[in-house]
Amino acid sequence: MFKKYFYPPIALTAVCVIIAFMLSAVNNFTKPVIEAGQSSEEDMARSELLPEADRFEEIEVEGIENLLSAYKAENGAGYVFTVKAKGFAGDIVVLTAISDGKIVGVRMTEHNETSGYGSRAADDNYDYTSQYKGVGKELEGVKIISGSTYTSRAFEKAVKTAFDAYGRVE
Amino acid sequence: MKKGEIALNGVLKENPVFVLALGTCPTLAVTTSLSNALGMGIAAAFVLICSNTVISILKKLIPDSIRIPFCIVIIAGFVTAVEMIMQAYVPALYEALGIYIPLIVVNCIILGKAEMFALKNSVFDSFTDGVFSGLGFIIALALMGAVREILGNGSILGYDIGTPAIKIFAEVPGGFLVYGIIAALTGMLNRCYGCRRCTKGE
Repeated sequence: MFKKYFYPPIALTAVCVIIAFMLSAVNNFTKPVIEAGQSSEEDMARSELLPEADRFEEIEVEGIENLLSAYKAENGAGYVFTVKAKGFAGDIVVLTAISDGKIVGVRMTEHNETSGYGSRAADDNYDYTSQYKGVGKELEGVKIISGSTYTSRAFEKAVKTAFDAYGRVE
Repeated sequence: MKKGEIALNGVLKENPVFVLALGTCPTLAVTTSLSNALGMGIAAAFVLICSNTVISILKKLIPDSIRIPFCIVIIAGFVTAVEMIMQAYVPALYEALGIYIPLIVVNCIILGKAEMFALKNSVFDSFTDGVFSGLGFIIALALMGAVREILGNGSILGYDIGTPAIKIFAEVPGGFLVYGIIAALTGMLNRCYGCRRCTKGE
């Protein structure tokens, strides 16, 4: 009776509790390392895009869909917006650095686009992101990547969203 | 069971990926480069060794009617620990493997080995089986990863070796092609091994 009906749930509960305690111990140990790593990685991407900035301060921008985060350079060098958009295969995430209404730099940090096609938008050796430098919010003269129309359109949409957000804060 | 037999079974005769066709989902998904393949292989092998050993130690305490959830809880515990450690110390690999790290929980090699081996054999045998099945998994993934990185990206471990990149090998269809060819070769190797035993009159 005990073995058939009471022992199994007791044993399962016990093992769950033990595992949970062990995991919380591991979590205590790894959490600070993870957080330090993440923030430094994002900071690095932002300062690469906007080298004039000294430090970044996160700001709140309300009412812009798909805006993931917005950062303002403390010395007024510009803003960096993190925006997502729907690409060819899932969401892409684009960082856009804007200063005085012009783009300083863009970079696609997360994507799942076809390798060799849409992935060229994330490749620094391919002349896609470089053409965004210095253009304004109409994205004048920006050409799409041949064979990767969806990715390019998503990229443009993300950059335009960043300009929408820029319009709210500037 | 003889230790040599466990070792040979794990690596070649019952190679989890190419002979048992277990764990093919992570195999196809993460073997686009050798470093990803090795990372996945080592993570899964670590979980496999730990869970095989622990489940074998606890096998007298595990009630038969709930053995699967019991094993899953233990496996999930190890996977979550591996996930947190990877995120902390090898963030690049963690990013590259993505969803496939938590999915190690449902890797059928690990649950399969727990159910078929660890619950029925001694602790030391289970540990040995975990080591060699894990090794078989690592070798399988590394082989796939190396072939696909060389052919699909013209590089090995990220270093350019100057061969042309045939993109399809880095994509899903190329994964299936490489998987099929290596599985066929493994089958051939196993049959040769069997033949030699026949001619010896065993």
